[in-house]
Amino acid sequence: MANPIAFIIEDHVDAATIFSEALKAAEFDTEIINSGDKALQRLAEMVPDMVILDLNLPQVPGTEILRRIRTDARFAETCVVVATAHPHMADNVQGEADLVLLKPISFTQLRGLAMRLTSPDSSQE
Amino acid sequence: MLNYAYGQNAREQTRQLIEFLDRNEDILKSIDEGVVIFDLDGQAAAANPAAARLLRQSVDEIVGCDIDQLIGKKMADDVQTGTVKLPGDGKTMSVSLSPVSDTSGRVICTVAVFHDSDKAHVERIKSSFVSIASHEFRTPLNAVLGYIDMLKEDVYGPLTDVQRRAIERAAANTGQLVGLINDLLDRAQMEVGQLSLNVVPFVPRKLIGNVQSAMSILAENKGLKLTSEVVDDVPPVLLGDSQRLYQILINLVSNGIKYTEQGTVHVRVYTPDRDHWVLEVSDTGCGIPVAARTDIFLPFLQADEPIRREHRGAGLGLSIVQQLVILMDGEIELESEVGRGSTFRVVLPLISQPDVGRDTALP
Repeated sequence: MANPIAFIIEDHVDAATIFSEALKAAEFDTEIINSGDKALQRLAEMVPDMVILDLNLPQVPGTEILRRIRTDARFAETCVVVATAHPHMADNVQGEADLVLLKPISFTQLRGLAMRLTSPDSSQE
Repeated sequence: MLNYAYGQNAREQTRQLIEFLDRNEDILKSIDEGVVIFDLDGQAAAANPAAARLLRQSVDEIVGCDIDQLIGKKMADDVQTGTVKLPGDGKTMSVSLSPVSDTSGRVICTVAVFHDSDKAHVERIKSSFVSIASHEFRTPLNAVLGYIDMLKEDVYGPLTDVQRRAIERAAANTGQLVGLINDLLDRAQMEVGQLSLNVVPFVPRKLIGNVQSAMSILAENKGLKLTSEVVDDVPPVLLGDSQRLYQILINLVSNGIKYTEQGTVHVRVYTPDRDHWVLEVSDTGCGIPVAARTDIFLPFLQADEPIRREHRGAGLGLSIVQQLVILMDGEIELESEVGRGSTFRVVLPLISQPDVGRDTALP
């Protein structure tokens, strides 16, 4: 069976690399997208299994991307993990994202989380 | 004739208002903003001490001054807001003028309220500093932690023993830095009133279990026992900010471990009455002298300097705990005996959540 697909929507190169490696270690195929407009373009073309979403993005803010994902039925099964450095913004999107992580986020934390989400038992959690 | 009667009547009502304020001078005195009341002719009829301070004149000097002379504005029937530049040092003040009407809708006087624009400006800068610093500190830290973690996990190939020890030291110190920055930002957010609670249903037993599993390794490393109990009558599900409650407990437990050389750190959750629940952390450590019991809740202070050098840390933990407890409408109590140990008791209002059936999905 093909690996699940994760979009890493993050403009900070190092953060994007770390998140991508963590998800690869959890057997995801990953694609790094470094701006809000490119993210919308790729989301129009494809439905990923998971989105790691930074909120502070160039062109289109992460909050707008989150809103579009949540109002589009194509993404009903997509797990959205918001990764932000703003505690205040983290509070504001609590209800909309599947999970909100406040940076710094460790490699092992994200890898463990992604493994749990893709494990066969995850639907019973 | 009508206008004359209206003017007389308005003056009489203004006089009554001023008399009332004179009799109840605490009302105007207690207001932080500068307040000046102008009569229909635009003459200052009363002022409070804050206005005198802001306008750098005595109350007696202000009373009788013309509105135009005092703040360079005319009387109006609508609310006006703007800024006023004081003569002399040119300090800018924001001012709002609001007409006061009687029951028939006729204006009887005008109230001017002054704010110190500089103070408001400083508050705005402080608030935006917190927000920017928060983001700018966390972003590079995220990268540092991430790469250290990847090296530790052999993502870039196996490490030699020496490399592994070095990276473990880097990880431990970075972890300390993250904790310190989080504490500083929490403290700064509290000062500008940005810290809010995210109140959700949670399971107290899980909360205590998480604290126990996060902190037991620290206790074991010092040869201490970390024990916990949730008394049976505590409701299975409560309402509260579980992350902040976890932060309170982690702070209290890590302090307990830090200041205890042998024995036990014990966490207990119980309900002293129907309206409250208690998080209690007790230790068998060095205890806190009576003279230091107030100071330990102040930021950047620990019980004494040798303790600070020995245990490190900025001394922010208890001040943050106290602020969080206040935010939760609770109280923190401390009992301590030097050489025997300390007990911190966080008493919180009990808000149970009887309608939640499936507590397994809750934090």
